Amino acid sequence: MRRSEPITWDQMRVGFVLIVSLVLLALCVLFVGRIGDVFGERYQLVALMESASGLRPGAPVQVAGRGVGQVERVEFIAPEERGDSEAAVAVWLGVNVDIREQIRRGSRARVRTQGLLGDRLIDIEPGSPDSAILVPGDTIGTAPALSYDELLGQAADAVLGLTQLSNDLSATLARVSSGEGSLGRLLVDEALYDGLVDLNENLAAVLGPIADGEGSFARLLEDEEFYDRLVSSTARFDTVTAALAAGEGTLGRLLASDSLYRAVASSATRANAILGLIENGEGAVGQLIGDETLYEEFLKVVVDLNAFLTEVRANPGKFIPPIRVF
Amino acid sequence: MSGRTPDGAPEPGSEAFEAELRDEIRRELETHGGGSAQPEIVELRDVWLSFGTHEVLRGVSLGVARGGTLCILGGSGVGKSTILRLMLRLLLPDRGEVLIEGRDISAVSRPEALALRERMGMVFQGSALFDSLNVFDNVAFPLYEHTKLADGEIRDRVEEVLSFVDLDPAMVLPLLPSALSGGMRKRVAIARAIVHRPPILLFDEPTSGLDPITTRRIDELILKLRRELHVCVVVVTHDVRSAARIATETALLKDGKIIFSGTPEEMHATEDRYVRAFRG
Amino acid sequence: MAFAVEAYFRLLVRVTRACLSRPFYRGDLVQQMDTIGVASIFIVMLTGLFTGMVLALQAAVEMERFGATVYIGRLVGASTIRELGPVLTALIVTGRAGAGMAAALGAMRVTEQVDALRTMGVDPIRKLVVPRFLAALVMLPVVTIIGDAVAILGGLLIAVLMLDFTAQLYINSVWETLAQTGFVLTVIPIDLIQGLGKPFAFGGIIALTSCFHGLRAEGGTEGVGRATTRAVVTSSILILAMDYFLTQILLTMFPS
Repeated sequence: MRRSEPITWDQMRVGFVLIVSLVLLALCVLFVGRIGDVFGERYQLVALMESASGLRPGAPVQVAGRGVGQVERVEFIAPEERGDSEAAVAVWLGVNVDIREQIRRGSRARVRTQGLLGDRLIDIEPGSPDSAILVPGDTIGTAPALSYDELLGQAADAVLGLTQLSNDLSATLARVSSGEGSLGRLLVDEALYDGLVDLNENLAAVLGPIADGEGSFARLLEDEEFYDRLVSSTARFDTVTAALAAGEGTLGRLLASDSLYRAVASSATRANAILGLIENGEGAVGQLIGDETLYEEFLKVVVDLNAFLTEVRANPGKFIPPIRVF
Repeated sequence: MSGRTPDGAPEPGSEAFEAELRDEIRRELETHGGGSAQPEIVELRDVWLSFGTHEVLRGVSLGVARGGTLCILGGSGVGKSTILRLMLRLLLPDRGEVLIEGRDISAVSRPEALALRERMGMVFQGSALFDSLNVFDNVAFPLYEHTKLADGEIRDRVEEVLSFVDLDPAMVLPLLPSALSGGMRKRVAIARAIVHRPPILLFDEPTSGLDPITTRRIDELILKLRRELHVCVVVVTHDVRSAARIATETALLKDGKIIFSGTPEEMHATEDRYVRAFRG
Repeated sequence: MAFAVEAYFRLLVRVTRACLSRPFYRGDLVQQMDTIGVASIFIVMLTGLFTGMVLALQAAVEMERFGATVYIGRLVGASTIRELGPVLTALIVTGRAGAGMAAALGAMRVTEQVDALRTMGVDPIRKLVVPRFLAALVMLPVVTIIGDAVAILGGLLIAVLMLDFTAQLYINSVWETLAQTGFVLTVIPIDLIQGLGKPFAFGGIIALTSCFHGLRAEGGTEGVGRATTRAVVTSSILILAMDYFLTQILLTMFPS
């Protein structure tokens, strides 16, 4: 009420509260500003994209995952200005000038999603040091957005293929284990096993004397002269192969020649084709493989071989010819 | 209740103050009063007022001259207080003139009305002291609002008027209205009404709710105001005995009309049945 | 009813006009800032503290199911600053200061103090309503700031003590959510415009409604009681309704 009022207690309280609230407010503006990076000077870059993918003004802009600015606006490009490019929107980025050196001609901007809620942001790959630094107003290159949906679609295709494969495989294996087809019978038939056991025994009987140093073959293994000859012939073989590698001589030229390679490649292709036919059970060979008679023949061969080896064991000299090297 | 009232002799030196106050009022009257012999300083001319369909005043005419005390008598709820509110322009009449010092306060512009209001001091029925302010701030309020007096001068004036209404300034100045008795509150309200030295004082039921002794003291105070400050007083009351003591003029209000007006003696002598009944 | 609405807006116009011209009661303004603002601070801080704590707790329960508890700071920060801070503070201040205003003015009205003012040539609007109106306009944002700060602090307590957050992580996510809504004039976060614009409007509602009902009090002490009840009920409802419309307007002005 008085004309000349001293400062009163309530004035001081009000002043104190006002100051406290203003300080809190200033701190808030300061910290939010620092997070939102509003204090630094910025420059503009524009990225032309097929789709803004839900980007909104204020979305963060990152370089290599670190926040450096924000999306300022997203505009449509007028259809007549688009030309050949697929880009439909121009995204204006405000980027801190401090990190200008990071963004160069080769930098790529891409829309990414972050966090559980799928916040959209722009991530820029830093460019290589030898390309030019982008200046304000430049257009920055873009990379297609890694969209969650697309990613999921591709993964689904792959999973479908894998499932198909494993179904086929298990069907095939089922047939094999139930003894169907020649592979099945090979694995399952006991007669074949017995034949193979006999064959093994006979081989052991033939090789036994050789190991004991009996007969000419055994001597061969222990003879030093033979070793020396072997060494010299190996050396000669080396020189021959060296000449071959250098493309000398007929054989060498043959190896180095491109046309030979092509011929071989084409014959390989043809062989592949033939094998393909065989797989499909076409032609004589194909029928052979698919046919059960093959198995019977094979069994017969094994039995005959067995009989032959029995005879060899009984009279080895009759079968082993004098051995000559070169 | 009134036992706590610090009655008795006024402060030494207060007589000088009262003389000074009288001189000042006289000077003011000379500047503002005009030359006519018996000017009606407050006058109502054929005033009509209604709230909705209820007609409160139906052609009321009355007036009081400088130095006179008009008591408006009537039962409760007949619109006595309404007359005071019209004089202060707290209400506007439907019809008629409310003349304050010869000018119709209900018809002039707002600033002029405010200037006319300053010519009046009002003592409300319940004293209407500001309960958030202490006695000093209450009494000083009109001075802070309407004058450019310095703090010291205001303090002097407040102490003077409190002495005039027989209160001890040193004791009551820092008190809040809630700490005062009814009689003291009424005195503080009177002090507040006269502190800016208005030539017209309005009282709304000045003695209602007070005990007989306090009533008497307030009546004496009103007489003292007229005698020593030569102000014109308008009192609205239902207390005939009190009116008989203080009035120079009386008017009896019934059904929105003045059914009797004259001096207290004339009222005492009248044969009118209602007046006699009201008189008791 | 229609008459009351008209009278309410007429009061608003008169108050606004009185704010812009002299005389001006500075002493009363400071005193009202003290009673409306400073005196409400303790209760506003208590409200803020528990609101922030319960928000963090509720958020933790709900977000744990998605493994998203890192978002607690965001949730507490955003909901406090945009909505709960302004609205709860305004309701608390209505109950405390608004009721007080209506009661004080009602008492002044029924004891003829308002008339006394007028007879002394003082406009009750200027002397009584304008200081309360301006004080509420200023102090509501001020106490809301303090309430918000305490609420965010309450959330921090829960995040650190019960959910093993670091204070840094929590506070940063509060700032992040404010930064994300965008800025006005390059540095002022839009959320702060919303968070301070609302209490500003609510302050006006509280003061105007309370003064309106106070000055219309009639019929003695009982009338004062009725006026007080009406003031609190009306301004609470107006605050909640206004909150909706302000949110709508701000969302239209600053689409994000």
